[in-house]
Amino acid sequence: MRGFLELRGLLKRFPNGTLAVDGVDLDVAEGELVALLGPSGCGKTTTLRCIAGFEDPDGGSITLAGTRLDVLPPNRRGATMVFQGYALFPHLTVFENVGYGLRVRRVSGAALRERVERALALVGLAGFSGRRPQQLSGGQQQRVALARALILEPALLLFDEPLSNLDAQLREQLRLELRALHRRVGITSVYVTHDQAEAMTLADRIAVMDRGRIAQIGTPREIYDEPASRFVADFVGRANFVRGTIRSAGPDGVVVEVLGVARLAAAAAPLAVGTVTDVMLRPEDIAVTTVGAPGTLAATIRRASFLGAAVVYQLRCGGAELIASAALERGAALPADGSAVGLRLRDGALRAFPADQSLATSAAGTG
Amino acid sequence: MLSYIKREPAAATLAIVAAVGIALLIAYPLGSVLQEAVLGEGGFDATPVTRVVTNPVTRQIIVNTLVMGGFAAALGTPLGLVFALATARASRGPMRTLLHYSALLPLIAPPFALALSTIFLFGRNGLVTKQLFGLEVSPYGLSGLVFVQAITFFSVSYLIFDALVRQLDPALEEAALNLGASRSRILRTVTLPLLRPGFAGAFLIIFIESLADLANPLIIGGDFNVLASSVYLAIIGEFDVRKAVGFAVVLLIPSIVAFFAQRLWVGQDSVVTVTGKPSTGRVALLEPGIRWGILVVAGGTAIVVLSLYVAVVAGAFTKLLGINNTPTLDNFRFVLQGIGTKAMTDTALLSALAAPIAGIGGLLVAWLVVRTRLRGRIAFDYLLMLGAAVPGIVLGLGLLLAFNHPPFRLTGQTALFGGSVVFVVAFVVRTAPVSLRGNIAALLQIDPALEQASANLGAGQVTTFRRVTVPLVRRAVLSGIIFSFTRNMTTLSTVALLVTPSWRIMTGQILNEIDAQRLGSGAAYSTILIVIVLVAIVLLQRLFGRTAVEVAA
Repeated sequence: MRGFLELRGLLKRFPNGTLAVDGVDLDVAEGELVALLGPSGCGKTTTLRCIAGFEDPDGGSITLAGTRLDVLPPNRRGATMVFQGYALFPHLTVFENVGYGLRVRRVSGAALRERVERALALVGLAGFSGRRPQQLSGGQQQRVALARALILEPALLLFDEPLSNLDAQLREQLRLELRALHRRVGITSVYVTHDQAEAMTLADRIAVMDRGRIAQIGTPREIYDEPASRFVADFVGRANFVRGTIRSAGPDGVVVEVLGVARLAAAAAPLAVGTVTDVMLRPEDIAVTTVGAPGTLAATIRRASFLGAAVVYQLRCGGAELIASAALERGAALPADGSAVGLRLRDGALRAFPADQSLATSAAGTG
Repeated sequence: MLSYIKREPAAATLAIVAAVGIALLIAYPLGSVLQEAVLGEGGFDATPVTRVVTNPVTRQIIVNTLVMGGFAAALGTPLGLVFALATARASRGPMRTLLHYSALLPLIAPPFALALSTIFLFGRNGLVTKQLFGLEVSPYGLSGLVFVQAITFFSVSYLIFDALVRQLDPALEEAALNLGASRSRILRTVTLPLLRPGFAGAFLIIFIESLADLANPLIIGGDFNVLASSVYLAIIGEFDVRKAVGFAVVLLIPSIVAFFAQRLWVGQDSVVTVTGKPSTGRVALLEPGIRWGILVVAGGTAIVVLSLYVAVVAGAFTKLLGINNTPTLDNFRFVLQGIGTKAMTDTALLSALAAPIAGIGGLLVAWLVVRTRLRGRIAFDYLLMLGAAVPGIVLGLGLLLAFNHPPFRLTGQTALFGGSVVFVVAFVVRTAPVSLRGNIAALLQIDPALEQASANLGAGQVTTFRRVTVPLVRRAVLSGIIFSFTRNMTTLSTVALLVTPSWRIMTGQILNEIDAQRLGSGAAYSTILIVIVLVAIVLLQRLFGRTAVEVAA
């Protein structure tokens, strides 16, 4: 696939020698929103800043609609950015902030006024033109920053963790608004975030980044259901990892001996018979039932925590520690700590990865 | 370099202009002094310097200089500390305001003013010494000099300790109190140790400022010669350039050492920014005895400072203060009908011409240093700072040597524009560094994302600078300009050697008046200068609504 935005072998080395971006290839289709998701220091923001021109890559190329971007100065790239702290000009009004890019392009008078009003209306801030940024709430400032970027009708929009400074509730609301707005204006976008819920709500595709590389790129479903590596499985959602051994391999996957039983599992990579493997199991794929029920694994509850929407069980099963989570029926009793239960694993829940020697078995991910 | 010019064309152009400017106006004059010192007719010849070091008479001058600087620093440093403790811990309300401003007042004193009023009050016919107590003492010499310099420069120590005391978390002292320590023990074991970083810095700065001072040694030094005044007298009295250069190089050494020591040890930008009110002590943290001791010393010093100022004004409005106290306007009449009006307009014109160049130049270099990726940009910072770090008399000598022959004929009888250009150059070189520091501090406080946002929205470097950067640092630029103006009006050491018949500088005229024993008209000049400086500072305060003296300091 060739993208509207293409990154090829992007490389950025920091003065201290670390490779912040280590050969990133990325294609973004026209109108698509791709999220760069990863822990801090994974290179997602540096990648974005290379696209904007605030960092000079040490290698690779960036192309937008067939034009090389990386040879252009930052002010000629036509890829407007919504900054993490919004970067609103404190000495200018909302109107002047939003109109800044147009004034640079020598738009003035009625045309300027009309377009600024339209952009402000688009983000729901009609009537705020005369205010100063300091007089606005965080959410309103975020909208001004968005309007300021949108008004130029850029070929590419860049978002650098635009919601990270807001409280949880507002973040949730704005992410739905951003989603709707993106659907409406359809501008190709790259969106940097470390918040997986944000990435999953907004993005057409997510690129999970780890140590300067893209670990996996795909739709939110693909990333969650078919993680390509232990890192992705661990970072997106929660995951149990249990040591297992491959008993047979076929076109539908592998049969793996895990927790004392042989089960069919999807394989993230080719795995030879007899090799030791890390088997992933999502907490919501483990159902806690009565002890001794047919087809279940015997386990002990170490602790059951009531979290409202779900109950989280810390379990011990065949020498492994597991986390399971499930909704509790209204009025049902919470099983006592220490009680024996049966575990039922959902079909297709297991995913086998090449064993990571550096990690202990059966660590439950907390991502 | 080519790729850099392509990426940041505005910065590259500016860097070239700044490099040429700094090389021509700072490096070349200082280089001329060094060249004169070590190059003779037949190649290397450092006799001007060795003669100063080996000759017993001139060696005594070196000793004198160090003794004076040492005593002034040893007196001024603790005085500043006492004032800082007094304003932060021992006083409140109007008392604190009074102490605070009397500690800052000497910063804006024109040179001579304090020395002049010291003669009025404590001279052979001094109002206080002779008239009040009937004492026959002479202020001329080491003791008078140390007194005047300690009073002039303790403000620097005050600013340093004041900033440190304000940074002190009162919780630390409260914790010590809570653990059962007595208040005097806390002062000894917690407060003073935490203020220790201030001592070295304050001592060093007072020492260097005192060494570089020209006005006080000329007026009140008497037979006690120091290096700065020797440079001046070698040129003005004997026109012996090589002798002057020898003194200048010896004087330059401690200043340069101190400059680098400060940049390397004290850290990059230890800009003392004094903002807001200090937190008034929630608990009394000083033993009553110590508190009163501090208040007596600080209050006494404040009274001395204030009476010195009153004495200048009084001296201007009397026949001869101390001898004939008849009120008169003769001094002002003499000044304003004589050369004084021309000196006022000349000095104001040249100062006003130089001020925006210094202010904006400081901003541009600050921008180069903070905001561009130009390799070696820190060198701009160091070289420009040198303009303020070297003693004024050495810079003045450098300008005199560098620009008295073709292709730059800026000094002497046949100089371009009657020698006015070199004054503007001297003023700019002297005050642009202060604007540089202020603007670097201001730029460091601005999130680079703002300028990146502007670039991201399509603005080039010049547009971003004009539309975003300048509006955000305008306070620093304006205070740089006003500071430059007031400093230009009151400086003597830098321009003392550059005087020409066609342009009159007020501080130079004051020197002439005092030389001619017309102390009254010297006081009248000083009063006019003080008024001009005060007006500028009030203007600054109006613009920003905060303590402008502190900005200027």
